[in-house]
Amino acid sequence: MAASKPQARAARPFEVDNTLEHIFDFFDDCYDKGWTDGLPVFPPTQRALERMLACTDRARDEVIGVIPPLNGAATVEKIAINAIMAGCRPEYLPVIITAIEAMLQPDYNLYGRQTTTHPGAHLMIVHGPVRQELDVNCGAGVFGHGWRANATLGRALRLILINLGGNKPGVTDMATHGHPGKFTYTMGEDEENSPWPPFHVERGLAREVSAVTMLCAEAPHNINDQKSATPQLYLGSAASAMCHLGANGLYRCGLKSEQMLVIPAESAQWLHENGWSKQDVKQYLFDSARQPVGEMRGRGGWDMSPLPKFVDVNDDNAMVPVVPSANDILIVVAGGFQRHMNFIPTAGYNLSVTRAITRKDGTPVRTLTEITS
Amino acid sequence: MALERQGIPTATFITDAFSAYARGLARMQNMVALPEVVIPHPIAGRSNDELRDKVRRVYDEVKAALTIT
Repeated sequence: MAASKPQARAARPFEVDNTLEHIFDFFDDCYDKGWTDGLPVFPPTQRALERMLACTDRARDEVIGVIPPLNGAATVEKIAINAIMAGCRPEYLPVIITAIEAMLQPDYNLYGRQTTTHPGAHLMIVHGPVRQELDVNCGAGVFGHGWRANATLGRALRLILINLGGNKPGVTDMATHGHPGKFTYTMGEDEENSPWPPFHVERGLAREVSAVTMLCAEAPHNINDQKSATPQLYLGSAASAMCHLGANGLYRCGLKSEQMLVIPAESAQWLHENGWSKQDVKQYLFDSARQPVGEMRGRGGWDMSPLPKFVDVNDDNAMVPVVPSANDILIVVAGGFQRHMNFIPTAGYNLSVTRAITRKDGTPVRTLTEITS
Repeated sequence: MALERQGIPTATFITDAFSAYARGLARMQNMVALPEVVIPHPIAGRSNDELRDKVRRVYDEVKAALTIT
């Protein structure tokens, strides 16, 4: 859709005097105006804004993109204001700018993701040295509470979608239920404890480059398997969760489509010891996370989009996968101890986008301090 | 909206549960005059007869949307 790029208006930072009562008033005012996710927000004072803008080499009025469906211009300054409101530290700004750039790539289909009835939230996966620099949780409770970076990076994106993209539940965001990841949905990969190449390396980036992957996804679904003695049995448990009859993947696998599985390092190491590469895991899940046409016919999302050519839709015994090819199964290593896994389902008609964090001139960086030094 | 921008006449079917949303999106895209045909919610899982009946009732609106000059 050809949306005209609106002129960026200069944002007006708030001035809040130094009393707690005014902080409460500020939050009440923001909530009443529909500028929040429902939780209290920090006042984006001029001082806080200048401190955050000092963490990027980009001009404050540079338009990073236009956020659908409202088509508000996401200037560096407006991104920073929302990030401050979300509780981000100033140095998080380049990560958020990179995430917004990723979400605005055509394959991500942000317009559709912002307005659909499907419960998609924007999962940010942080890669490379920036994970340590910002203390992004990649380990125990990776989808839970307790880490400022995980809690506020994703929240900043949500506030940007609300305030620049017009995202409002039941008005423009028609998600039937949504999920709690719509408050924040941020993780890092446990690259140090994984036996396999990191996710961003699969995507063609150098290991030491810091990067962000955005994936619009449902809530994580736990798979608890402490008993399986073989990789086949163990991954079979995951496969059964990935192809339940209400899962979008089965019905959308003829489109550009991905599904993700998060495996803890403990399991990845065990699979590796058993001689399994990451590619072996993907292939096994692709081959075994399937349902027969006869089970799918007439339910779920049947007949709403074409199935892959290799599936004979007239044969009730033909097996339907959850993605078009093995490489469309995304594997990320993260989490704490014990052999739980998490299936991260997607709507099946949008793709993840990985983007290096760079200086303004496009040079990828390892650490965020390289951006302004 | 993309088709209308290319000059191809359209009639956008929408159930009443999504009518305000559709109007809002059209307004955001500067397409307030987008021809919209509203049928009663729901449609998912309803019989073909029921759906045919819902569409028959708006036949004239669809015709008008596609032929209006």
